[in-house]
Amino acid sequence: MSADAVFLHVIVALPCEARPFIDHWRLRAVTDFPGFRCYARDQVRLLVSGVGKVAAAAAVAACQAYFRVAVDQVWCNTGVAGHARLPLGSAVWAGKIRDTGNGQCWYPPLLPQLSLPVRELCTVDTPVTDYAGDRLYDMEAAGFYPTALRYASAELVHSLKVVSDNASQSVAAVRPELVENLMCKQLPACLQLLDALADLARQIAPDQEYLQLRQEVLTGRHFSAYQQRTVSQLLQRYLALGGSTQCLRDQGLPLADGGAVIRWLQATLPELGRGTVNS
Amino acid sequence: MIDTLYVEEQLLQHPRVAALRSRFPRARLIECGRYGEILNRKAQNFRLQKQRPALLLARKHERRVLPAPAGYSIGGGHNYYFSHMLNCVYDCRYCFLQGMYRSAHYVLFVNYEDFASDLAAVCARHPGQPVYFFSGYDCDSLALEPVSGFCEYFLPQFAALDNAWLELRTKSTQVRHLLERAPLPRVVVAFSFTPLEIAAAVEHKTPALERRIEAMRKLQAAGWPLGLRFDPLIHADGYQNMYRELFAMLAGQLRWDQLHSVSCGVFRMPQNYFHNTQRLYPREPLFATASLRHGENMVAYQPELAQEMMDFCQAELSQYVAADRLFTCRY
Repeated sequence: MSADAVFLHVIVALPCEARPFIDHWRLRAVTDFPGFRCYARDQVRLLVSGVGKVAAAAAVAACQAYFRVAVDQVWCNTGVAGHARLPLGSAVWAGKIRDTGNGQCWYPPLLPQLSLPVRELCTVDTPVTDYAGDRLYDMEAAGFYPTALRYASAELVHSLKVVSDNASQSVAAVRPELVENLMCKQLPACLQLLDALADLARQIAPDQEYLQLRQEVLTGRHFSAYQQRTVSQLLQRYLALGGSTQCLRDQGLPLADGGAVIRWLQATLPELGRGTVNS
Repeated sequence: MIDTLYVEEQLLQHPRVAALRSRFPRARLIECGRYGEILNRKAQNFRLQKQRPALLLARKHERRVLPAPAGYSIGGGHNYYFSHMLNCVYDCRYCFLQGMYRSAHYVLFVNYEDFASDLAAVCARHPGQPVYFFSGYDCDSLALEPVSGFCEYFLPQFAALDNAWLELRTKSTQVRHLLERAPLPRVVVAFSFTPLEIAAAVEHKTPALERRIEAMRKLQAAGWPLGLRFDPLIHADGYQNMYRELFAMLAGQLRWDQLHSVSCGVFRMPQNYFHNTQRLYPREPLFATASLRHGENMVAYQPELAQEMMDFCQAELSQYVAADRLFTCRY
C-alpha cells in the first residue's frame, strides 16, 4: 500500500472479521495495547473491539490515544451485518447510520467513484431477526462513527458491512468460519474503499513544506504563544504568495530573535505582490 | 452529474422529487429527516465535497424571503432575497458560500409554491412601490435550471406580481428556457464578470467569458433586461488594465444603452467565513495578500485600496453607462 503519510484504522468486532485483514497485510499483534486486541504494520492499524456500540466507540478512542493518531486519517468499521433480502456475502456501504437506541442518524459522505451498493445501517443493542425495511442491522457502527468523527473529517470515516444473515439464514447460524469466509471474499471491496479514502486523506493532508519551515523557524528561538500563532500565519501567507523557502532560510532564519523573524516576514509579505494575479 | 440524492422523508412523494429521481435514475437515494442533519454537521470538508456534491431535496419551512443586506440594491428601496437553492455549481475562491456552509452539497428546496406565496405577501406589503427580489444570493440563479426548473416555475409567478422585480444573478449560460419565452420587463438577468487573468486564478468550473457574453447577446437580442455585475472586484497588480480591457470588451459586444443596471463592489467576506475558507485553501494568494484588512466583522481590502479600485472602475464604467444605472455594493 502506498499510503505515504496516511494511516488506515480498521475497527472490527470479532477476531474472525479481523483474520482476512491480518493475513492480507501480514499484521502483527501489538502486545502492549491496553484493553483490546490490536494488530498493526506500517500504516495500518486494526482493532478488534468486541460486540456492541460502546465497545466500538471505546476501541476508536483507545486506538487514537495509543497511536496518537493525527487528525484526518482514515477510519473504517467493517464486519458482518444482517439484511432481510440481500444474499449472504453481499458487501454494502453505509450511506446512513442510525442508532436505534436514540434515533440519532449520521450520513457518511459517499465517494462517487465507488459503485458499492448503499443502504441505511441500523445499529441495534441486541441481535435482530425481523430485519425491517431495506436496511442493514449491526451492533457497532453507531458507536464507531460519532467517535471517529472526533478525529477525522466525515469523508474519511466509513462503515462497510458484509451480509452474514438474512430472512432465510438466521443470525443463530452464523459461525466464525462462515464470517471469516464471507469477509475474505469481500476483502477486495474493503481494500478498494480504503484506497479511495486514503487518496482523499492525502488531498487534505497538512502542508509538509509549511510544517517543515515552521519547525525550522520555531526551533532555537523564543516565541510567546501569541508570537507562535503570528509567525505561523505569516509563514502560511508567505508560502501562499509564492515566497521562496531559500530566501527565508538565507535571510529570515539567520535572525536570532523570534520578534526579528516576525518583523522580517511582515516586511517581506507586501513585496510578494498585493494581488491575486501578479502580472 | 448527481451521484447521490438525499431526500427528506416527508418529500418522497412530492412531484418535484419524483421528477428529479427519474432524472437521476442511477443516483443513490438516501432518506433523511431534515436537510440540516447533513448540511450543518460538524467535521465535514467542503473542499473534498466540492469535487462531486450530492443533491439534497428539502422543504424550506420558514424565513423563505428575507430583507437583502444593506447596500445591496439596483435602484429600489425595498430589497429582498430568497434562495430556492443553497450552494453553487461553480467554485469561485472569493465566494462566501464556501466559508458559510460546512457541506458543499447542493440543497434544492422543492416547495416552490410556499416561496411564491411569501413573495406575493411581501409585494402586498408595499402596494404601488417596486419591490426587488434577488435570487442569486446563496446559489447561481440559472446554473442548475435544467434540474431545478426554477425559472420555469417562478417567472410566471413574477409576471403576475405588478410591483415585483426579480434579479437572476448568474455566471451560467443556461439561458435556453429564457430564450424560449417572451421576455419579462421586470426580470433582470445579471451576469457576473471578472477579468480573464483573475477568472483564471480564482474562478473554477465557470463558463468561459466569451460564452457568457454570447448568452448575454442572445438574451439582449430577445429583449431581456440585462445587468452587469463586477462584484467582487479583485485586486491584482495591474488591475486597472485588466478591468479596462474587460469593460471595453463587454462594451464592444453588448448594447450598454439597453442595460438595466451595472454594479460593482470590492472583495469582502465576513470574518468567520474568511477564516473557514482560508483553512480550506491555505495556499490561496487571494487570502494571503497584504492588501487585506481584517476588520471587526469583515475582511476586505485596505480602505484606501478599496476606494482606489471603486473610483477607478466607476470612472471607467461611467464612459459606457449613465450614472443613474451604475450602482455600488457597499458594506
